[in-house]
Amino acid sequence: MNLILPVVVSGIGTGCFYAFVALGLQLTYSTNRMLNFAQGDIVVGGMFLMSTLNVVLHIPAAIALILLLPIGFIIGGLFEVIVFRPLAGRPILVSGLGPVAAGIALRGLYQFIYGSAALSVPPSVNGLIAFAGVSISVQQLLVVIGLIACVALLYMFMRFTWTGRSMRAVAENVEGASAIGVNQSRAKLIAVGMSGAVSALAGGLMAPLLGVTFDGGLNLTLIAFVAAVVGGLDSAIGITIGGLFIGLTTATVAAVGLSAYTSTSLFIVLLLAMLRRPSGLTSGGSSVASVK
Amino acid sequence: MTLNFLGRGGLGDRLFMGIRRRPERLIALVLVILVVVVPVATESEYLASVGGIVAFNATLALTATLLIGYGGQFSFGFPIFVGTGAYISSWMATHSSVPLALDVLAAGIVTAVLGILLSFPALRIRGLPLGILTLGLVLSGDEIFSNLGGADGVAGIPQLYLGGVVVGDVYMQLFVYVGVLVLTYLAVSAIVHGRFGRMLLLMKADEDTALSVGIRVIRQKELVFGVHALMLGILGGLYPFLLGYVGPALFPLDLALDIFFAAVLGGLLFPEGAIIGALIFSAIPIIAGSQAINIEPVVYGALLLIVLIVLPNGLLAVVPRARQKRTAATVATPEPAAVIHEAIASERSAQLRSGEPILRVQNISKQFGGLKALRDVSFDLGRGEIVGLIGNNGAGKSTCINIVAGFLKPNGGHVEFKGVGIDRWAPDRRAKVGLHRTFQFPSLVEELSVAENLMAAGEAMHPIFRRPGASVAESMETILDALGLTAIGDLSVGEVSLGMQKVVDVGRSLMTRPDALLLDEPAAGLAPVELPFMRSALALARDDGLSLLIVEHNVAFVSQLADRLVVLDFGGVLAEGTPDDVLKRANVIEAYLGHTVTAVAAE
Repeated sequence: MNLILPVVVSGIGTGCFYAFVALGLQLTYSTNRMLNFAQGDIVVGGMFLMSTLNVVLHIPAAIALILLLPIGFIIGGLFEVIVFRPLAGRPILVSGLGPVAAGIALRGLYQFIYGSAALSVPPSVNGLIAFAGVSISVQQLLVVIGLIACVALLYMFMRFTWTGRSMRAVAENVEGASAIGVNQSRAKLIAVGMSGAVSALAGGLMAPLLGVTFDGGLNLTLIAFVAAVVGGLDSAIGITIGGLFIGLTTATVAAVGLSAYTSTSLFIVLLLAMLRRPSGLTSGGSSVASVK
Repeated sequence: MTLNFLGRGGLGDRLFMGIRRRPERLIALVLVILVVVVPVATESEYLASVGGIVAFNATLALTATLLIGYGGQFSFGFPIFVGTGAYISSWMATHSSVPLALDVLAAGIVTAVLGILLSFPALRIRGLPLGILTLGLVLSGDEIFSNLGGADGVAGIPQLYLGGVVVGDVYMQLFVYVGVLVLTYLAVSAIVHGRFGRMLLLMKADEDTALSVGIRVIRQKELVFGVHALMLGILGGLYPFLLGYVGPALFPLDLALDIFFAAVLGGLLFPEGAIIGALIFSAIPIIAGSQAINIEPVVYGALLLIVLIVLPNGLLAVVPRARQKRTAATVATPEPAAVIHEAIASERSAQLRSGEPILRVQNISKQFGGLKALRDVSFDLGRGEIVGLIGNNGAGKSTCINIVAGFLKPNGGHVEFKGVGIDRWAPDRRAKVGLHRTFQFPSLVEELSVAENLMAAGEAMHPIFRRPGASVAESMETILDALGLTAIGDLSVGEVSLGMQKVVDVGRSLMTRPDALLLDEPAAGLAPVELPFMRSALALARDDGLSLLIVEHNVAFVSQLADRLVVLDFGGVLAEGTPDDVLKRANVIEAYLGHTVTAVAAE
């Protein structure tokens, strides 16, 4: 019991962060049908912004985190206008390479501004919580709370607001959505903007727990994709489950002394998940596979 | 034999025409010569090492031309396969005493096999899963290589000898890198400009169409992935002998990104683009100077994005070039129907119209969730017969054609073709025995001319490693003639109207010598002047003994051609019979034609 519990707790902790990163991927895909190969780099952008706001400008952590939401929304919006919109409707190879190019530029920008050394950001809230012999930091708890809040708010937004429903209409049928008066460009802009806001918040919450490096986004992008392949891109809930699964997997791999093989274990999960997902990354007809 | 190097039609003339058609070849040749000559002439070791890097990157980018540009597969895997080759050959070189060439060959073969095995789960899925899988592979590469070969790598690898000369200094290394580049260029050019390249483009244009002309898409994807991995493995296998060392840091993801940059910038459809792109990639930091303030990645990223948006076919796409012309038609064209008969149906006449239907659809049902799309649908298609399948939107016509062609599995019922149950057969297997389909929106290969599109489909019916010979070219000319398409044969697909593209699509299906053709809305989207082309194309096919099942909205069009009509309504067969008979029935008029009946009657 005492051997398993710490693994589960730390697995859920990191799993929540992974899910947070992957949530942005799902949001972008849900309306735009674009796979963002720069998703991790946007999260890293949130981490760097947190360090600028909190460490350099001395803005209190709570306010900095709130500021990250509108800033992230603008970054996401810019991403839509500069990368996704010009590539919409292009062959899948071209629209897939676009975010790859943007990721190269973003990592270069981070390195130019912040340098190559890892930055550290102080915890937003200090302290440890201990129960049943396991202790977790308050910061980690904040990540969990932030994720739950985001998933719940997104769920309600998509279900109960007209804008949210129109975004789902765009996701399911672009022409039909236009016919009933949904402004597609606006719906896509909002979706990627929200994805940016969620991603920036994820970065801001996670920055104190990790060293922030300019090229850390690559691994985060991969993790988001593994979560997508495991849990599917259909819903926020699915991808959250995918993220938690990966968190538990890496925690288990580390617990049995194989932490040198963390990435390899992720690759194996990816391989196995693809074998049982012959239809692509979504369950229904709107899969990646069926988009020509 | 007289040597006629420079005369008309001689080698010189052909070379000149070749360069006018593919001016990029001349550009690439000049650049490769410069990469060798400039460092040697200036005695600059620095430029020699840069030249080596350019040639190395260009070789890698060439494999990207093959895999991404033609294969249509999005992969980050380049570094990992080079690394795999390098580790295998260096392990063999330090643990055995077999000749060096064997080390390199083994590296290539093992890498190809590993590549095929690892890519298999992703290649079955369409879209970008391969990109995701190989991203994972490359990001765990550092870990795998460190754990297998140590974080410091493997040192003490013997040097390369070529004809008794040790490849020691940077100049010798440059020659080796350029030599490998030239060989890879020749191989990739031969592959992509030949029939395998045309088939890859057909698959890239649309996998369903490729299946419906009989291409085993997944197997071909594995093959092209394996070939690219083989090339990378061989290159990687040579690498340690040039460096004297191999380590995990040599194969980062950045290498894949550099290759994307080079291949996309030059143009993913041009093998020469890989060379030009790699040269530009290396030239940027040299031009910017060593005091450049680390802003290069931003420039690379931004430039790549701009090229993708503005010039998705790369720099070479804007070089003016002479249009490639087919060799002149050798077949005389007296009577179109007779010619087409000769070309595509010789051995069939005996069994034609023998009374036994070629296609039997028996009690097919299909359910999507709670929706019954087809209920107990049965009908026959006789040999040499045209059957029109008509009905309202949502009546089940598309579902029906998809089931018969093998793109959908029915919940119940059977499909029999030439007396054989084919319920479990994939679309490509059905195509191989002569049951073909067209799609409502034709996916012709944009990169090829009209004539080459026909060639590609004809070649698809032949095993890859056997040359199809002249017969494919001959039947292409015959079909172009018969369908009245000769005049547009050399145009690229983009220059042809959508309506005529659909006629070309029918021609493409005829190239695969089908016995029965399923046509999905052949008349939809055709201008009035184009309809006669389609009508005569289909009539010709019928006269030639083909059996046609036509799903169509345009009742006037199909009733002129069809021997019988089958009317679907709410997933069931409402009526069946000759057009005159069926279109008079009260229930058909009410359920399907409704108030438009007067309009139809008027036509």
